[in-house]
Amino acid sequence: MSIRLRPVFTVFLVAAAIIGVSIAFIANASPYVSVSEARKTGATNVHLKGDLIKSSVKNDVKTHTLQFELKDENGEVLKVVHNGTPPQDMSQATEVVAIGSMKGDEFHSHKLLIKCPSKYEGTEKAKY
Amino acid sequence: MPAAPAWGMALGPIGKGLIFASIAFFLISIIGWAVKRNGIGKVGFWLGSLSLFGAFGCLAALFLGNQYQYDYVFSHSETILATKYKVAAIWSGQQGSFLLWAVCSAFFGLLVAPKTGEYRRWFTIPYAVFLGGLGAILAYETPFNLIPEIAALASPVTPPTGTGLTPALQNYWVVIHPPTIFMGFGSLTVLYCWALAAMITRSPLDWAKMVRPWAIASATILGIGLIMGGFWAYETLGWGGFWAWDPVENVSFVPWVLGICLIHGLIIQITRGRYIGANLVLAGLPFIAFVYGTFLTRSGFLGDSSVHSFAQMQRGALWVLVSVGIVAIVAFFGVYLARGRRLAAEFSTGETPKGINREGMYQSSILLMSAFAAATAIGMSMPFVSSMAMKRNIAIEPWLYHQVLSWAYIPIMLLMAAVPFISWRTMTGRELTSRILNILSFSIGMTGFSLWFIRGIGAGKTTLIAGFIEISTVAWVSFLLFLSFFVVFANIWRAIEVVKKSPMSTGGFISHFGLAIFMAGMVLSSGLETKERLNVQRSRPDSKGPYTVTLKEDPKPDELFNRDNKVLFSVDSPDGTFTARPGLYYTDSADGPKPMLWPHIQRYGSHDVYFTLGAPSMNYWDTPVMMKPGESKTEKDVTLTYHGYEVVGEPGSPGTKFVGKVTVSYEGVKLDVNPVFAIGQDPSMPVAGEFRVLMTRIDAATKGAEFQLFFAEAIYPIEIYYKPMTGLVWGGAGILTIGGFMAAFYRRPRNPKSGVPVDPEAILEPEPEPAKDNAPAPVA
Repeated sequence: MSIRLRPVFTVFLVAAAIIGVSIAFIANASPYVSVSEARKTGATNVHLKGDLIKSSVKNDVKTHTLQFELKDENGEVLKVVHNGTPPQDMSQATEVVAIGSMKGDEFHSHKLLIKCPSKYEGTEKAKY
Repeated sequence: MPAAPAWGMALGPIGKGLIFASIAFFLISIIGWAVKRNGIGKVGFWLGSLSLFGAFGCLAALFLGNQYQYDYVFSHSETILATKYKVAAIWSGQQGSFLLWAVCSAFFGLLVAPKTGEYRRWFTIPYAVFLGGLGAILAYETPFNLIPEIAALASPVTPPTGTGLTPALQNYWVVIHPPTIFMGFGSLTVLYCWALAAMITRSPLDWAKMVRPWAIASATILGIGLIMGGFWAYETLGWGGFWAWDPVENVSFVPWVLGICLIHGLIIQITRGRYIGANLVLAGLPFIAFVYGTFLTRSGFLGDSSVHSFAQMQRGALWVLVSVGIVAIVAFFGVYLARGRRLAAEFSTGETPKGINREGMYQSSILLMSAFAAATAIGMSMPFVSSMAMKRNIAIEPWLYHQVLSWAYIPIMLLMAAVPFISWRTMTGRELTSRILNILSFSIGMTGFSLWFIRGIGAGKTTLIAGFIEISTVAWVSFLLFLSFFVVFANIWRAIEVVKKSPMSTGGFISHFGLAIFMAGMVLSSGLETKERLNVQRSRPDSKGPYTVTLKEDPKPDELFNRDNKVLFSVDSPDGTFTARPGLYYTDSADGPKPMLWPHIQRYGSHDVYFTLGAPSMNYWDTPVMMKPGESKTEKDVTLTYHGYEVVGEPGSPGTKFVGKVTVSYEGVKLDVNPVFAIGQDPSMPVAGEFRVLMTRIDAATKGAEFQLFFAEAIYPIEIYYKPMTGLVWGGAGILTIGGFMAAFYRRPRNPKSGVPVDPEAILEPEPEPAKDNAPAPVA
């Protein structure tokens, strides 16, 4: 390859690599979806976000499952079955992000992220 | 509320004033150096830095002196906090962490500037610009504002306490982790400004030698900070992991990888006189990456795609940060394009030889590590790009990082094992093979041997690798383990070979060896992790897998609001019996008591037993149920039947009792109980076997009553993780750190007067001995 073409080739290669990696990330990323989107697509591995309907929370300690309903901006409601114990701050939760997939009419989640009006500002992390 | 003390009221304006003074002093320093009044420039930089230290001192005094009339102190601290957590609270919020960044950067500026020799002028000017910029951010986002209502009072008062520090942050790691990692961030400014100075003064050769120990020290400190953050997550968050590829973590990780690239690039330049242009860029990138990451996490743009509560910056302060970032990028690449490229061509000696030689291998390693850093940065940016360009929030999960990054990780590990055996002069494949074959075979053998220890663990699980191949988890873990073994033995071997000639020169080998051990610990502890879920009640121990857990005693109610409260469990495990002491306490909140939980970690030589407690629960039914006489409710094989109630006493008068007639049946047992509801008295909660029944109210019209079914004893949900070889994570981190400091010390400038190392290159980069005693090995 001629000396003059080499930098062009390098730039091309680097650009292709960056685009490739970006596509790999975007294509496999877990999108945030509303209830209707989750229903429509039979979504797998998505972040379902909605307001927690407090009266719907059912915690079965013995089987380590937590059931509740999320309501999205359009008022649609979906039942979520979470396999695991409730996060510490579940009692204060206003908004919940459930990570998982649709199974039939239910959303099965393996991880919950809790948004709650915290009196603490800062870097508290919610990972379960 | 008591009147605010005069000193407390004075410190706020003083702190604010010091921030403004620092901006002024840095301006004076810039002008001084620009017009070559160097004395003024030096003094200005000193005074600017001292003003920042003073402002930090004021803030610390406000925290330690409980001056809750200040908004920032009020919302991050409280009187009953232990002193160490009041210190941690200083940097627990946005304003305080920016001040910490400024102070750490100023500290490194003062430390390094006198050692920069001829570069000092052009080192200090950009440094002062940056610190002045941080000062401007702090002027907007000041931690020294009074609470507005208090500021409006004629005679200000001090609230008795503040809202407190997030319990998750009340941990000893939060006392030491932020200062350490911010020292690392501060040191990035040194690398950036010095590279700029080297280009402006057209002198990239001395620069490489002088900056090298600082580059190594910077990466080492940043590395310690990163590792501490991981330990904090492991010990307090209760999700059983060290690292989650969280945006905040990546912001520190990317500059660290780029710093490692620079260290290796400098070796090429100092030894071979090439790679100058790349090094100049690599010295600027860590700082630029960090400023960019700070923008990403603080801008609020990630707010919707992440639940981590990133405090949003004020717009004014954000624009200062964006300006600092843009100026940093434009200035750096402007100078590089105008001058750096030509300098590199001018000073470079010859071309990199083709074939297998150390220089080429270092270049490949740097390329791979840069790709690793770039891929991480891309992953970190994608939620931002997606929400801006496609109006769609996305999350990049850890598994996806692993898939993408494994492409670079595997060749990086192979190079880390092979490069120590490759000489600077070009060698043949046969030579390399003969040098490395023993270590390679030994590593494969050791991997096979260690499989015997991990037999049976993780059987049947599969892992997706490199995005498309599904293989057994054990096979994948074994391969990753082999990579670590290969690096470990190769670097030990080479360290032993050179240790007699120059013991301190083994720092590089030791840090590689430490990193490989660290990675082996990460791979084994998460790859071969197993998890059991149990439910324990006071009189009903639970057994799952190899564990039997018994609750020793119910926590005393008055202890439950004590931060240091522990719940004691006795755990029978294959390692014998131990007492687990997970933390549980409640904080008050608008929605009732909120549980805070801390895991218990039982450490053994070969593994950790990681014990996490969930919030204990009494409720069998989630909500009370209104029932009519004769009605029953069944939930999961437990049936409550309501027959009616009897009235004892005159209805309507105090002391009247309503005695419910209830049958609870489960597992073939039928128990009759009589819960009592009495006006103006505590209701009774009679026990029915494993349950308790509460009558919460009655409905006289229908003769109905409302019931709630509880467990007789609180039920504690427990998860136990078996995490093999976590000790390697700690040990590896320690060895990595020691190796890093050894290398930084070894590369320190030897001649204090000139600041330029004078030791001959022959000692700096010892040639590997030809492997004479190795029989020529067949070339594969």
